[in-house]
Amino acid sequence: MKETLFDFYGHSIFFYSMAMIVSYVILMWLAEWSIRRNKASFADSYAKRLVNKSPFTPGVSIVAPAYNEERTIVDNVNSLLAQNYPLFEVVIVNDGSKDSTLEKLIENFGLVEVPFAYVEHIQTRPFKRLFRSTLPQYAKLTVVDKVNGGTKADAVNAGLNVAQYDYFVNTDVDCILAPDAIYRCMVPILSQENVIAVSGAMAMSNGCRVEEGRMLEAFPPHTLIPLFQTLEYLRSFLVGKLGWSAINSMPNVSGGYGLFDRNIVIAAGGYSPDSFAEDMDMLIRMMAYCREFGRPYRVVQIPYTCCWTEGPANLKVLSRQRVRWGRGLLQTFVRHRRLILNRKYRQMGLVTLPYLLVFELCAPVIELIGFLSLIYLAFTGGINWHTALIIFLAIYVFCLSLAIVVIFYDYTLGGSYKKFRSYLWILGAAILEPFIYHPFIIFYSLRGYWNYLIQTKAVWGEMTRKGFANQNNKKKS
Amino acid sequence: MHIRLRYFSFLFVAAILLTGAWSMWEYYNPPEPTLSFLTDKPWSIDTRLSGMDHFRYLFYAVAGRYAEYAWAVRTSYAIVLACCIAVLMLSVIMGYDVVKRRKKTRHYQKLQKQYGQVLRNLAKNENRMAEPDIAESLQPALSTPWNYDYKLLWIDLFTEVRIESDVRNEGLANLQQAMQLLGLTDFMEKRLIQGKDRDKLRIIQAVRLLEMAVADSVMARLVNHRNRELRKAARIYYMLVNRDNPYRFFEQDEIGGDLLPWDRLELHQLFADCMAREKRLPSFVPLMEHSQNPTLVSFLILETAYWGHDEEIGYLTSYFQASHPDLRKAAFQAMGIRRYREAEKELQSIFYAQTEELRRIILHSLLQIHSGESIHFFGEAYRKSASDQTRLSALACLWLSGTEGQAEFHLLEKQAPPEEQTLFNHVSNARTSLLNHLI
Repeated sequence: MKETLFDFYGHSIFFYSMAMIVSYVILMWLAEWSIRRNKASFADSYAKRLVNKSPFTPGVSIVAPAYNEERTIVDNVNSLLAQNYPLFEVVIVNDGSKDSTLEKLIENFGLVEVPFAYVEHIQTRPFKRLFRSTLPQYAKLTVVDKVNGGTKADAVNAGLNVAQYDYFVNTDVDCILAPDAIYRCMVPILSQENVIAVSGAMAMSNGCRVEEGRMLEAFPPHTLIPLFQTLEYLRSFLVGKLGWSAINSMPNVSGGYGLFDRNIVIAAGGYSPDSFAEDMDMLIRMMAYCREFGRPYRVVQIPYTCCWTEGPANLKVLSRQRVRWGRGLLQTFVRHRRLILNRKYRQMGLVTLPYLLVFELCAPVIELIGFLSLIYLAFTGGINWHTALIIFLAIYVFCLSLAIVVIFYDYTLGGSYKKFRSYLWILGAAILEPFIYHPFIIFYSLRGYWNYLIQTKAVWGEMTRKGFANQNNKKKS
Repeated sequence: MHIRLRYFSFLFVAAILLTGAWSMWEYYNPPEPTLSFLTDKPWSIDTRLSGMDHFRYLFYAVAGRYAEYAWAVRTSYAIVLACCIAVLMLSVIMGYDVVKRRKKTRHYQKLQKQYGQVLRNLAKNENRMAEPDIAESLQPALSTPWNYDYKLLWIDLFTEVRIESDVRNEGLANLQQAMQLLGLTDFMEKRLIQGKDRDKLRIIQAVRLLEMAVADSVMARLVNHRNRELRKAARIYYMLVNRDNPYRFFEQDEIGGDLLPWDRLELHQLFADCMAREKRLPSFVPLMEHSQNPTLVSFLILETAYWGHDEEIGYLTSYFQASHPDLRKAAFQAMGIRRYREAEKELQSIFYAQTEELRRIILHSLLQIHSGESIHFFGEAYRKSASDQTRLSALACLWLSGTEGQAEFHLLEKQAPPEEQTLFNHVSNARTSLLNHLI
């Protein structure tokens, strides 16, 4: 009986692993197809001229919630204001910060409180005040002060209630945006039909040279944890999302940087404040709304790095983030279980969600069982080590080749880093990742599932930021 | 697409089921080894390989390597090998892309360094330069035989200079002359006939930006091209240059597909360019009458407001009664864009028959008309509207209507109940950009 059980498990895992590898290769080719298909058919200068001159150019609101961000807030708001798009506004939502975030904003941007008749399109924690700048150069800046809602979702919803344009960018205030980030994301909206969300690629800002909120030079992080995350981001955006985007089945637009149709977001009920993966939850609800009301939609991933974000620099912060993501993933599946394998929701119901369920949600559990079985079989002498080594090497080589493709992609597209040498760091990370980083990620995901199952109290930990100004000062001194 | 998706899903599920069934069958009924041709080494160290033997040997080296192992190992080996080949192919394609991109960038930078300033000087020159003078400034380039890719780079450089300086008249004529001398005009015409679709598209854009005249006969092939993007670009260019019947595609209600936001941007720019070239624009009224597409009609209504004659603007008031809300919205907006005072009373009279969103648009248009005769109407709109947003808009219109409007605003403020004071404070204290957002 025991042997049959192990055999059955072995065969299942075998099919599972092979299917996963094949799916990655398919996604890679789909990503390549997506890049070729979306290659701009117009010269950039021509497109920018049209966008800058036309009265039909749609406006975009950048909504960025801030909670205890005193160290980076000024630089980051400057980065958000430096967009070279003709019609945009920046809405910073101070989500009841306990530090001097608001004071820093008032002081540096010449803000004054202005009376504002707040219209609550989406319910949020109470709105307190609204600030505008007295200085003409900051005329595009609006700061909303509200009672802390405990989640990013609540703050974004408050920002949406204040935003004035039909499209909005949801970003984190610690993000440094590329100057043409909005323009890049608006191109698919302008040139394709029914686009409801656009996701831009993201990279780690740890280790980059940033001054006054502008990216002077991008370098890969030289510490292990952010370096591993850089590789993870590249893989996720340039293979995963880009591949899914080719068949209009994107499962998620990152909460770090994404452009959305504001009316659809509001119609779908806004971000869920009780969700731990509010970005994924929102996109699924947007797509479900479109399907239910017979509205065609497209969600597009663009292959350009639009945003640099500061990733967790140590295991403690990483664990908080990943436990939350794990919990959020399970919560999202439980919440939207009716969509899975439901024909009505087409690609999302029949392809994306089942795939994520099997290869994303179940992966940590399967890996844990695999690891425990390996230990058991190793002790009982049930492993053919030679065969096991061959299979391990095959999988490892495949992982490395995947990383190489991703690196190539980024470099080919003129992505995150200018020098090819910078990518050698990422290649180094790819060699070590399966042994050092991946086990931690599995462990944190499982902890997230466990926390969800036993319903422990939700805690949104604070992200400890180093701040770019400090880094630069240190370099100067 | 539906059918294809269904077939694909069916094939996918069938493949999984068959593989599963086969694996189970093989597991419970282990077959006799049949791969003897893989396990028995056909070669010895003394074998001399010739012709196809090399391939047979390679096949043995790859396929026979794990022939003695369990089927799981063999299958995984095959899958991983296939995946690695796929990844390798992808890497080669991308590697080629990298090399091509780098080469192109290097060449473009070289070109820009060598001739960028020369072209800028030509563009900035306010006098039409003589052909020999232009030829002299481009001397080394004229005697160099440029290849296909280099010529495309030259076109990119001209486009960049044109956009950068946004020149007209003499400067533009100098650039056109320079292109003629470099043989680019002929090259572009030839490419429009023979090139790849992507190149054709870029050339049409360049031709449009540089306001070059390409023969109608050349464009005739492209205006009905099967590539949607190319067809659309060609039709837009056709409208700019054709003198015979430039707007025939509008008349046929076919600019080449649905009207995307991008097309609106391009068409608006096209009309702006036509105006700059003092070319007559189409009479929008018959086009609107003819078209059944509300998106196109509402776009044309707005374009009429930007470029149309006064008589055409008067005609737009007939759309105030249109059943489609998009048409009414565009007509209301058009009155504001054109500041058409004659429509002021009519706008006021139909105000209460509209939805809240359209009411706010009417308020905005009345404010843009700015005749001073809508002040009482704004006050009335504030008092009678049910939506707070419309009331705010009405107050903002009052506030922005000058002294008289502000006096009315303060009067209403005094009469307003305490819970509505926020609305007044919002308007009277807000920065201008926030007021714009209200209306």
